[in-house]
Amino acid sequence: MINLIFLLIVPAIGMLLIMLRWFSNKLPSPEVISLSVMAVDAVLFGLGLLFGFGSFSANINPSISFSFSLQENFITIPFLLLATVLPLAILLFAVKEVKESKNVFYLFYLLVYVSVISVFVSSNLIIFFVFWEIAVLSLFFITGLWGDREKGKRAAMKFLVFTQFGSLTLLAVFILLFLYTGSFNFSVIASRMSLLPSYIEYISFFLLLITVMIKMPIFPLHGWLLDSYYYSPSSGTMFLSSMLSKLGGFAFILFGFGLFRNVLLNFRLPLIALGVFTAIYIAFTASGQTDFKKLLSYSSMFYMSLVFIGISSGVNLAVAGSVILMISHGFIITLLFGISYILMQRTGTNETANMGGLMSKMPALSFFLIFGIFASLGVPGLSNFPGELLIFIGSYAIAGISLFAIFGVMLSTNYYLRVIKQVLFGQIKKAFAGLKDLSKQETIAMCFLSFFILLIGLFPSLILNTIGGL
Amino acid sequence: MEYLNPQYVLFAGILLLILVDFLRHSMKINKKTFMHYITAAVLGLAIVFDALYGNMDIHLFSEVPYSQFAVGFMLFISFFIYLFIISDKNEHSVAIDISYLFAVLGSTLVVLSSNLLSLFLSIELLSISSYALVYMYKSGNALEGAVKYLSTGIISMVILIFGISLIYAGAGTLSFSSLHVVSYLPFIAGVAIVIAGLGFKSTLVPFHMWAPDTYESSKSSVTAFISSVSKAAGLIAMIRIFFFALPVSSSFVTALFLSIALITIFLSAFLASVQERIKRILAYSSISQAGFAFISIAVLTTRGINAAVFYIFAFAVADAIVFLAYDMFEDKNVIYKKESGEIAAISRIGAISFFIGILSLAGFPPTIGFFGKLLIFYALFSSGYFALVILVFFALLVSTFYYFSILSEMHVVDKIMKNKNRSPIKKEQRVKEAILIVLTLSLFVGVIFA
Repeated sequence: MINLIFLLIVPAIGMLLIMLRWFSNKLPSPEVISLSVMAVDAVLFGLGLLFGFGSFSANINPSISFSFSLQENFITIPFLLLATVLPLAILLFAVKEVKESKNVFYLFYLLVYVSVISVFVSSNLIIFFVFWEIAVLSLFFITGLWGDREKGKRAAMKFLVFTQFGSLTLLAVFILLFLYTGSFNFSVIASRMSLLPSYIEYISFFLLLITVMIKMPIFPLHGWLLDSYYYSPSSGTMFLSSMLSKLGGFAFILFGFGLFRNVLLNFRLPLIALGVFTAIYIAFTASGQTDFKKLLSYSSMFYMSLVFIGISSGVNLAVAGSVILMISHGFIITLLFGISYILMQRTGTNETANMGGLMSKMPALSFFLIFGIFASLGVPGLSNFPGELLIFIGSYAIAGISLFAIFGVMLSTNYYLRVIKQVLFGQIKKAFAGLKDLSKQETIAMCFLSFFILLIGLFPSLILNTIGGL
Repeated sequence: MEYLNPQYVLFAGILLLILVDFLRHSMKINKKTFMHYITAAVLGLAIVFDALYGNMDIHLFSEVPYSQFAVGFMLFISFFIYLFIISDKNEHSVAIDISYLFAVLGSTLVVLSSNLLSLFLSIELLSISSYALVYMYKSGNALEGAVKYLSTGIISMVILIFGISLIYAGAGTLSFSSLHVVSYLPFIAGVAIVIAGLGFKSTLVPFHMWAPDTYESSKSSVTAFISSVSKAAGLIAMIRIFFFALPVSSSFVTALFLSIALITIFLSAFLASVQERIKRILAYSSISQAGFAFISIAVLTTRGINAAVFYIFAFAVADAIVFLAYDMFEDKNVIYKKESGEIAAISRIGAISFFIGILSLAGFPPTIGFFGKLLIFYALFSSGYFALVILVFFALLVSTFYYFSILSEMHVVDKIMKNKNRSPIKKEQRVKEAILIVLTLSLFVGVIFA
């Protein structure tokens, strides 16, 4: 039995060690500390899978039902896989990128890491919200301080103001739940949901919807997406796209599907239609991009809109598909953003039209780029396929309109293949003659990610079996 | 045991100080630090007595459910602000000890007053000593600030006593226990005028115009006192009158209160976001905090009052922290927002406390500013004001913007890392940093009082 609190204590010790580096220079470097912390956490997670997770609870202020309690719920395990394993790969990219104020960067890095884990395991809604906000704040600083020198701060501010509005509406939902059920504890609330008058359920659901639509993001609340993805340091972008957007999906499943299911079922047609519209709209937007990083940002939003369709259909099958798609998309988008970062470092440009013929100089990178793109397109055997399949099967039973989103998948095939053509094939430019292929460290990170993409693609039942109660 | 209350201790301390000062002059000893120690000891003793025995409970002053907590946190904050003030290397006259103790005594009496007359006198005691405190540091344009404060203060006091006289004409009594609502026009006008008079003290819009100027021109450590303890006293007096003494529960009064609160929150948020000087931003933010506390008073329910008292505690601590921390930066001429990058070089711990204090003012978890806002929203929701909360969210977004526009200029990170070999830190700065650490810790521990 592994108590969930250990997953939080280990990073906390790591943060303490990094802070102690201000006073003594004998401690290992912050990268080493972070890497070992995350490795220990991943091992703890693996042990937990074998022996089961124990819950933890400590009362802080009973009068507002505020207790530090951690417990797994019906979709925790797959998200915990994402949160404990993926940052290891992100770290390998961050090591090369971050050169200044390393201590503070890794402090924020571990803070994001621990808060994402805590959001997934917390069963008290105040703790949930506290860590939800800490994740947002730390990413605000990562984007603002290590991002683009000129536009990073403005992007960070836009990100903060948008997501802060989403957080406030989420807080309103929590307070409404507390008002009618008298508790912030998730399981207590779930058992007392009948106490809520139906209009409160509707109000809460729409407030929650705003949160989710900002966080995932879904049209028309996606205004912050491009700036913050584009001007963050690439490790920040990876965190944003692979973890933070998943928090939105997680909250939607946990509260929208778990608590307000009646409202969700009443509104599923307009919600699915919104998701389909977002998918097609964003696929068109992505088709027009010539910048690889922008294209990836929009495509990331495309997959989140598929997730939105899956969850809002309210069918168990489609929700399970959404969980798989979120996990697999986390791994794939990290791989693709990693490649875009490497290309940017080596060639000095993000424009796909300015590259070309890189296949001859960088065979390993080309392999992983094609692998990632195929995985992203939903080639069977790779991880997106089971997710997309389950989403379409499940939501088709509810609304035939969801199949229109397949049109978006076709469009993304189009722009992804264009990327492959422009970047990898054709005549190589003279300026690129001296390009080097992936270094050892980068290859390790890529292989690590590819392993999980293959694993989930070949054995989706590994994840499906851990989703209890669906 | 009957007289072991903080108020008696404070009063005895004042008398003792005057006596010792007289003896000191007649014996020609020139040691002022001794007097400072006495003052600090008196404040510390008052905190202990408040925690152990509660407050004074006599004819004109009586306890209410929250008063022990309110007096406790006022004394706690004033104690640390005082330590901060005397840790400065400047020579302080003994007058500051006496007027500071009078101000603290006045603010604790405001909380306890159970009669309109005693309330008026306590506020007057607090105000007069505050004018002296603002002018005590004759640096910069302290005179301008003090005169502005004095003139608006006197006008507000006149307005207050005018309202009180109208209430007396209507109800025939001034005691809170026997006051009752009568439908007599001068009486209602009197209630409205009392709102205006107390609104000056607690900087509610449209009675706020003195605050940014006075806050800016006085020394920051004094501003810390005015914007936290003194403002808390004004807000708590409002709770006492409008919740306990005059249970005015007409929809008109609620609408009036809510609109004052909303205007305060919105106007201060927008005015703060166009300011260039850090201290003015902090001043406007302090006004908006008063608006948040008042919106919770405005719903006039027990939940709302509890939330308001906790929120007043939360913002008082955070305001004290940011102004005290800013005091250290102001000495090194950090005035404008774009210069805020330098603050980490002045004091690392000061910068971090400033940072956490601002997070708490902006309402970010896990600080008590967040829990205060949580309780306020809870109170508003339980009275059914759903649309109002959504409106307040927009104001909160604006305030997030201006708070973070200070923080993102800070470059705390780079500066903290790059200043490795600086000149050794002086002892007085060590003391100040220690005070800030204690106050900052209370931002996290304070949640147990929610």
